[in-house]
Parts: sequence; structure tokens; C-alpha cells
Amino acid sequence: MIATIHRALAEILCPFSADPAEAEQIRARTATLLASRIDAMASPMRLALIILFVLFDLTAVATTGCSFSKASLPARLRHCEMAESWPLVPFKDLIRLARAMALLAYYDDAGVRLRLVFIPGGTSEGLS
Amino acid sequence: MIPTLPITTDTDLEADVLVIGSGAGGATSALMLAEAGLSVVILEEGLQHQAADFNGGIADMMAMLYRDSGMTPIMGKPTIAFAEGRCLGGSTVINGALFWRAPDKLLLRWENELGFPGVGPEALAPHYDVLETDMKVATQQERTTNRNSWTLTEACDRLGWRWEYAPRAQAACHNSNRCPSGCPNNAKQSMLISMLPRAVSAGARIVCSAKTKRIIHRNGRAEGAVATVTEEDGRSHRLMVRAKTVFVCGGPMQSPHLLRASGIAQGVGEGLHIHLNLKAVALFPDDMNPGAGTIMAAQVKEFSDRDLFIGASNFDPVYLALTLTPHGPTVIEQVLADWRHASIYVGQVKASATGHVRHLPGLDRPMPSYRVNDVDLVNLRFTLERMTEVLFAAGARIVYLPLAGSGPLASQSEARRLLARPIPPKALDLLSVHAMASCGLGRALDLWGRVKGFDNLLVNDAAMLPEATGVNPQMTIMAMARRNVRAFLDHKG
Repeated sequence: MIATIHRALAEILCPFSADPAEAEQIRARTATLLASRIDAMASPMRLALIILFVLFDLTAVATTGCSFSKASLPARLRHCEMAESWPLVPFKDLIRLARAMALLAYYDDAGVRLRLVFIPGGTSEGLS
Repeated sequence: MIPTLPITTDTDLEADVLVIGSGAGGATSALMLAEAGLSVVILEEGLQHQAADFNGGIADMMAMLYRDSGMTPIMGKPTIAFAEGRCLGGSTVINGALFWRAPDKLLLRWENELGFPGVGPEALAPHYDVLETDMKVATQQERTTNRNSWTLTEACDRLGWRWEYAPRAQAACHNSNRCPSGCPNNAKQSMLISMLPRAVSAGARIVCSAKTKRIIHRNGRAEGAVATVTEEDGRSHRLMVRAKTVFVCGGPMQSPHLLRASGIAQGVGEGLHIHLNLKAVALFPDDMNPGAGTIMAAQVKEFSDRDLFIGASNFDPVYLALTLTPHGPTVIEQVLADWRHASIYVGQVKASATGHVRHLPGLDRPMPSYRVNDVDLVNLRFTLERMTEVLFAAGARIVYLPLAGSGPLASQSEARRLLARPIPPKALDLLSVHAMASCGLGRALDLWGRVKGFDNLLVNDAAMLPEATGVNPQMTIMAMARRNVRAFLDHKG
């Protein structure tokens, strides 16, 4: 169940990629990174986060009419936006973690870096 | 590869000295002890990785080299992301190798006000001198790379602010901008290529993937430690190291945790000091070629009396995107599309209060905490104001601060207006890469690093410092480690 929620988050948080294979790879990587980060956490925090993920999934019933992992992409986005502003439950931290993993997976991807024309160590262009 | 001792079955070892941890404090200690003719065993929790391994993606490198992939939380409001190494060589493998002496004013305070002998500027100078030579410390002044640093120094000159070239432990840095994911060129003088090979040549034995579970002690004497060694295939073995003396050098979080897990609690884990880092992104009209360079080649030192410095940070699209997280996906996409005009800067300030490293029974990891207070908020606001001031003076057209909801800033007057408003602590995106003093000389330790109540158990890493240095602490950790080992060897002789 948690893996499905990670995957559903990855589908809306990963930046757009025109290549379907690349997009799929980045989503899968995001879900893996998210799971591995949570697995590495201290057990009380891991447990708290898992409960939070489940809560996040279920509260979507109130905002979208079905659980987060089963909602449409626009409905999921809407739930994220609303949940981030809820003061009593720290969904904001949870979404922030997931967003960071999505960015890490996306901008670490070889294809994306190639399109950005990023060369580690830079180039000699534009230097005085 | 550095030769290490394979452990393939439950094993007992004996040594004169057991050193737990192989980072700046542990490697420095092990080298001196081995060169003094003592038999030394080093236990390292992480694995050994060398330059050839440091070419992967950033996510993979973070998982390989950092504890918790670089996201250990320091609990509080806000939670602060803490990054430390977990590999042979410890955090020296993933830091920027910035090698500053501690300010004279601070060392005089340690000597005169706190009453620690042998820590004044004159007493530590010989240790600093040796380290500067051994670690090949040099500045990088060539102007063909590190444009983000020179843009900053030119702005300092316009503002009349003081700046200095940053001394770094590096030999012929290639400016590949990969300091945080392991130097692929062996230019950075991490413990992997400086102290540890020498320690092994002097006879020290290293065991990697060895998680120390507890220190064995009886009647105020340490007798060794028990560790679990995990092989690549997942099989684990019990390792018992019996030693006449134990040096705990697991770092500012793990050292107090291990002591407490071993039933040694007096003053342990109290008085945690940290540096707070704020990262900002500046967009310039010119091509900054930000990939060409290293971590800061210079630091803004105008506000060093307030324990604050500003410098450029390592650049990569991943770091740029993560720094912009508080500003949302649209800004990230726009800035990343124009990344050649962007640079990342960091302001670092000493936290004003102290935190804790707690040990929860049954939990195999420390629980650090620090609560940002009103004085910190004043200092953080001051840091952000000075960052925007120098970046706009440097010609930035847009600055993004690590402050949720702050939006793009186009001028210093906009920044002033924003920062005149109250800053909710939770809106700040804070991180830390320097923690110190969690066992503190004079608190948990005597004046020479021995755990109170023990004469053969020492803490000799960042945890041992009396307080935060206000500057990058690696050199002072190593100098103080040398001081303590020297005293131990003299006392022993």
C-alpha cells in the first residue's frame, strides 16, 4: 500500500518529461528513493511517516472523493495543494520530502542532464 | 585500495589502542598512535570507496557515502537536515576540505576563560603548521574557474567588505565541482588519501563495515568494544576488540550515542553546538559557467566577529533544484532552464544555543535535537540581509532565499522589505554540516579528552571540542586530536 502511495506521489511531483520511457524511469526512481529514505530512518520516525502516508492517502476521500492513490492526476494535485496548508497534520513535510526525491531523481537522470547540456566541471565558454 | 582486515567469522582481536571511527579525529589519532609504535585497530562503520567509485549520479553517491543519504534530521522547529559521511574517511570524503584555523579570539577564550591548557593560538600553532603541510593546504586563485566566487569578491571590494581566499586541503583541484559526492580526482586530501594510508603503513589495522555496539568497561577502565561486522552478502559476525585504551571518534552524533549505549552518561550528549547554513540562488545577467569550479574559492569575512561567513557553494543541477525547493516547481523549471546564469551561495552562522544528542533505549541511532531561538532568528535574518546585499552588489538580477513563500527578489530594497517582516522559523529551509561539542572538554571529558571517571577512554573527534568554532572545523578537530594524543603518549611514556 505504501509503495502505491509513493508511486502516486511520484506521478504528480516529477517534472514533465516528454519521453514516456524516461518519465517512467524517473517516476520509478523517485518511488525507490522515497522508500529507501524512509527505510533508513529511525524506527519511531519511520513508523510516524508510514502512518502519515496512510493518513494522507485516506484524507483524499474528503477532498477528491477517493483515496489519493486511486484519484485522477488533477484530483491528486488538488489534494496535495490543500493538504500542504492543513495546520494540524504535517503533510507539508511529507510532500516536501517526496518533492525533494522527485527533483533528485529528475535532475540526476542522465537524459535530463544531457538536455540541460550540463557538463560537470563546466566548459571554457563564457570565461574571461 | 587501503588494505583492510577481512572479518569472515566471529573474531577476537587485541590491540594497544582501539580507534572507533576513521574521520578527521579518528584517522589523525590512529596515525600518531601507530607511528608511536602502538598496535592500533580502527573500526569503521561504513565501507571503503575510492576515487574510481565517485563517478555515479548524486543520489547514488549520497546513498553510498552519507549517513541517511545526507538527510539526518536534527529535531526541532524547524527540523534541520544534517549531513555527515558514513564511509572510510568519514566526512572528510564528502566535505569541501575547507581548512581554516580557529580564530585566535576563540582559542584564547578556551585557554583563558574556560581554562583548557594547550589550546591557545600559540600552543595549537605547531599542530596547525604540521597539518597545513601534511594536508597540502593551498588557496585557488586562478580566475578562469570559480566565477561565482570572484563575482562575490568583486562585490565585497565595491562594498568595502573584507574577504579572504579559502584555504583548502587539496592538491591540483580539477574544479569538477564534485566535492560533496567524493573527489573523483584524488585532489581533495581526505583521510582516504592522507592520514589512513600512512596509519596502515605504520601498522594500523582497519576493519570496515564494523558497527560498534558498545564499549566494554569495568571499574572505570575501558577494556575494548564489541562490534558487528557485515559482509557484502549480508552475513554478519561478532567482533570483539580488546584494547588497553579506546579512542571514540565516531563523530558528534555517534560518539555520544555509543557512550550512552554503553552506560556512560555523565555530561554525554549535552551541549551540542551546530553551525546553521542558509543557501540562496542568484541569477546573473552573464553566463556564470557555474559547473566550472569548486566549493567556495573565497569567503566573505566582513562579519567574522559575528561568526558569519558567506561563500559560493558547489554547483550541480541537482543542488540547484533542491535549493529552490521552497519556491515551487515552476520556479525550479524556469531557473534550471537557464542554469548557466545561476549560482548557489551559502551563508553560515554559529547557532547561539546548545542542543542535545539523546539515546533512546532499544534504538540503534542517536536522536539529535536543536531548537532555533530568538537570537538565532536575529542572526539568520542578519545573514540573509548580508547575503542579498552582497549578491545584488555582485550584479544579481534575481535572488531566491531559503524562505518559503518569499518569492523572487529583484533588489535589496525588496529584500529589506521582506526581511523586515517576522520570519516564522518553520518557513526557513535550514541545514547543517557542522556539529560539535556533544561531549565537550570540561563537561563529559577532562581537559585532555578522557571521559570523566576513566583514564583509558577518550573522545577525540568533533564531539570533544568545547564549543563551535564558527569556521569550518576540520582543521581544529585534527589539531585538537593531535594535542590530546600527544598528551596521552607523554603521559603514557
